[in-house]
Amino acid sequence: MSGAIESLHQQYVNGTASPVAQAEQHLAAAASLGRDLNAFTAVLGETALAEAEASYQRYRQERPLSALDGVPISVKDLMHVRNTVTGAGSYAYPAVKQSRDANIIKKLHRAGAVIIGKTNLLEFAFGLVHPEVGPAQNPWDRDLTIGGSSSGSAAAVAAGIGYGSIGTDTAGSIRNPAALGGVAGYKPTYGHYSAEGLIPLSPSLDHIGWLARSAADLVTLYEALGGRPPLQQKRPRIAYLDLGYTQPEVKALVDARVNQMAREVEVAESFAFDWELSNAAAITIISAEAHAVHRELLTERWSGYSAGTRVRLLAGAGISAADYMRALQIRATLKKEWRRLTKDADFVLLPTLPGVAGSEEEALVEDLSAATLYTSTFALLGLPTVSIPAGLNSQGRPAGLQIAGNWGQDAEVLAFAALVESRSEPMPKPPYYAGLY
Amino acid sequence: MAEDRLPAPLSADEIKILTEELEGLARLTARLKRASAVANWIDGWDVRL
Repeated sequence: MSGAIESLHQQYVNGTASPVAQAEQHLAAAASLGRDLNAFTAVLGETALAEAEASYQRYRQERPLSALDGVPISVKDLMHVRNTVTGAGSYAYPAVKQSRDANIIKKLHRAGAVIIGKTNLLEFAFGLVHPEVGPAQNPWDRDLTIGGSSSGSAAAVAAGIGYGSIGTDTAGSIRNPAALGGVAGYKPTYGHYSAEGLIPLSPSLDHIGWLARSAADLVTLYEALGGRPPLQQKRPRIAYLDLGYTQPEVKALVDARVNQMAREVEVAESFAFDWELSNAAAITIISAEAHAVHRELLTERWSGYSAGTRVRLLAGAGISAADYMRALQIRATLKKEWRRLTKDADFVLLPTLPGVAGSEEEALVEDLSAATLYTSTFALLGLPTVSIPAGLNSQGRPAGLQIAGNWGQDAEVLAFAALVESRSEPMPKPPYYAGLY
Repeated sequence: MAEDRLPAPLSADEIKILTEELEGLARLTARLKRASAVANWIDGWDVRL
């Protein structure tokens, strides 16, 4: 089940590919197709080439740092990269070059990754596009939304620019664009990657994770940054749920992915869970914390925000301390409830989203609580969750299958996602594709 | 407090969005309140994850 990254690493080891040539190709693609798709806010040519040259020397000395050494990747423009401006999809954050790397960037450097650029996002990861920044476009159809907030990361990876992209997920911001862009997304157990150096949205729920073209690549990325190998599981027990709002075509696609695993899994009993309550708790916490995070910047840089984002951030002030505490307590209670309901299941499977990508205009009128209903619970409870492509609907739009595991079982969730993926027809390439791998 | 001041008067559009957002949040917090009333949690504020 090895993916494109493992294959590239082997080519570097054998000397049949070069990190420098790879960096040059992916930088060129980022600067052309990546810019056309509005997927990148910055292309880091000079530093990426220096990183690639250093990687080349390590391979020559037969001392690569990890399977990620020399691999072109991108990072969401919400975390600090030394000597670059962090844009956050806004004009409100001070446009000064950062003096240090975020913790996750340091981790990427220690693994030898080549950072080719920074990717576009919804403003401060809070659900709306700043009109002057503009939306990242979906490589399957440029008139369709790719969701968010890690929209540029999903667009870049879907277009085959870079082999992976670091995103963030507070209520679904990795899994939502991964599903709409037909790629894989991994939201770790809460706290797996340090959020130091990340501009927060809601510190209690912010997760740093990965987007890549396949679950097999997610496994490689996870292990290259120090993740442990999975424990052997003889016959995984799964619970397959539907929340009742899923479009029939999406349900049929996800059903097919689950059914093809029938001989390899034990099916645990499905269960009822109060998704609306969980989603209400998540949005209450996010809204209150996002207001607290932005309170001073809102007063200092009001006009730098888009009107929609600043007003939504302001609205969080309407949540009382009692309501916020109540949401935290409901989260703790739901966590216990979830453990009880899933005691006979290793993995819970469900659609990532109830539908497929629509137009940007349709996305604008979408209510946040509807957009996050299928995904927010796993951020609220901090559980490791992966979204993998579930195929295309009759209009050629991707759907996603979500796989959640128990706290700390990231390696097992990723391995199971890669297993499901390996039993499926490979996803076709989108019409806008760089063609580099 | 100075930092709690609005930086500029809101436009009519912004007031409309703000009103809708506040109504939406009020519906969510009312949902949370109904759930906590059933469970009678006043004596146990355990918020650990």
